[in-house]
Amino acid sequence: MLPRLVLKNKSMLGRWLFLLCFLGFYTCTPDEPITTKGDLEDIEYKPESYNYIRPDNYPQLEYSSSNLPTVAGVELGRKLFYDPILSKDSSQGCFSCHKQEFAFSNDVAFSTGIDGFLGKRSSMSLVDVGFHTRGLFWDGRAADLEEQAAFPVNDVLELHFNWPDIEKRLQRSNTYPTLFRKAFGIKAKKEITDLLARNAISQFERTIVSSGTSKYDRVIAGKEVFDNDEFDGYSMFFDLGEGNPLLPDAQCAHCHNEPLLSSTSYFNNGLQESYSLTGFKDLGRGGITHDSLDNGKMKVTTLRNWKYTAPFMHNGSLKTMDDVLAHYSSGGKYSPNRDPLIRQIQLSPTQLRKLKAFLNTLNDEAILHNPAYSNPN
Amino acid sequence: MSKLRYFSLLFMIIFLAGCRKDDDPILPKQKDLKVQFVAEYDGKPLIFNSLLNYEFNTYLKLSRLDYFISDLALMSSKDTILLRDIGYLDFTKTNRDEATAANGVVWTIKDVPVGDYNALRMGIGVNPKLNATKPADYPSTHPLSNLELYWAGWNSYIFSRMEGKIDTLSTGLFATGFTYHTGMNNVYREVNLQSAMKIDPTVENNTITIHLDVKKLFSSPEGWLDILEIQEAHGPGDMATVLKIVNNYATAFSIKK
Repeated sequence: MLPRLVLKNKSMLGRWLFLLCFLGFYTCTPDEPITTKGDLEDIEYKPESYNYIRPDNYPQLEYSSSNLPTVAGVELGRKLFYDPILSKDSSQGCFSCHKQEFAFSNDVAFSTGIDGFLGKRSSMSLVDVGFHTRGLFWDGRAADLEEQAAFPVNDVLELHFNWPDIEKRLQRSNTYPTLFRKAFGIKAKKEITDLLARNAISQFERTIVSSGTSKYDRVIAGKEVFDNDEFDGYSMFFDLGEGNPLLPDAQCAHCHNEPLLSSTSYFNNGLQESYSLTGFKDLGRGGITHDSLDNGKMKVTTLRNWKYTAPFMHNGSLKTMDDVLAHYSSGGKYSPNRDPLIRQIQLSPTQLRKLKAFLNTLNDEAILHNPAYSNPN
Repeated sequence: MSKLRYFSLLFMIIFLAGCRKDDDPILPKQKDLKVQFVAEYDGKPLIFNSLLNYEFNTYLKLSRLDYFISDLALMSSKDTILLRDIGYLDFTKTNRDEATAANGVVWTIKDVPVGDYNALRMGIGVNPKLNATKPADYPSTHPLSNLELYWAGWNSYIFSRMEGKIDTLSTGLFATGFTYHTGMNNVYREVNLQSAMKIDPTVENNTITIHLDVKKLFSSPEGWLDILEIQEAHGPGDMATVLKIVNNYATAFSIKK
């Protein structure tokens, strides 16, 4: 009808209709979605970058660009680290097996989980853990701290819980949504995820760095000197004896490299006896790589603060440092892929005493009492 | 009309001059080059944890072999092309069986000028300039960042490590370990491998293969490095043993076609 009116009659009605249509098309806009403001958006989000501190001779502390550290992130991570909210019955958390007074390790061979079951391996110290870039856990199964944090929650021998339920707890909490907002800028409680929780815990864990105040560090920095026994022990530890038969190479530093006094590699240190590559009680690294030559190999822990981390080894089988020194002095137990560096050294009691004197210079009490690492809850 | 004809003719000349046959490609002036490092023992692929005849029915098994390589360069009569300033070779994961041992460790070097070359030069170890740096100076992805490969007591990187077991007691258990680590500037060695090599612009995978015959590291002008006698060399006090190994690099490394 309209075209006939417009063309045939050229009436005012047709012109007005045309004008109306034109205006209608001109003013039409796409439907805009109806949005509701996030329930956290009223909380200010003003992230402040966190600068990790490390001794000058330490390697660079690296982390993913998807988890840049902030002051709020580190604080949230510390709170989560010490919160039993991560376990099914709310009785345990990271802190249960990584205790500050034990240099973030603990004082038993195997930790007891919430159900009363023992874990399979000893709790490792978290001191300087952020510098380990080639795998975490004794077997290296976690690529980084963010991945590592997922395992204890899901482990039935440890926290025996699951991340979806933890997310709900955190979202319903009276305090955590605000902390997550300030740390990560989320707009709503429902945006709290396990990844953000693990990111926060990792940010905190990366702050746990040796203070540089152990006697060893002070000597290396030129601020102090070893006594005679400590110096001789240092020479044996780092093979600086230059052929002096009284100061043989104790082989320690091949695995316990400076300055972390640990390594990012995996070694078979002769702790487990096996007459085949498949006869190990604990496959260690080989259980992850499925390479039989990696069977029985474990990650090297740090010797920093060893005094507070007994018992030693992945199974806590060596109760004291004297036991450790005796093990290495003897050459350990046979296995086909025992590291060639593990050989009978037969250190004398005097040499063992001196070696231990040096090892005592590696203890750093400052880390045990630093409030920045303590329970904020 | 005559102007139109001239312009048409000119246009045709220009057009035809620009034409070329589809099968006359423009050859690139640079190609990627694969430098393949293959570890052998007595001319055969070196397989870790396998029996290797040391001498007179004494056998050894190798469990670790790694090297730093510095200043890898191709040389021609006119030029020297630096391929890589520093790299780390770790045969431990590659030499598990014959197939992986034959492939070895491969570096891909981008955009190498095409042409003929007559030698390849490389430093075994970390050159003195880089050896003055420390792992803390580098990000974790850099070959010089690994703390395990630095020996603070020497103020030096560990240039190479060769480790394994030998059956000194003939029990079949291979209970005796040997470890030879080299380091410090005085044991840094450059090798010059003479060989006619061509980076061919028409070839997709230009490859140069460098062979290391580990057995030749044990032999020296002075005779064998006696593993049964000396099972460890690691430090200035063991320099005589270390020098036996590094002085054999020139004969142990080769380029084969």
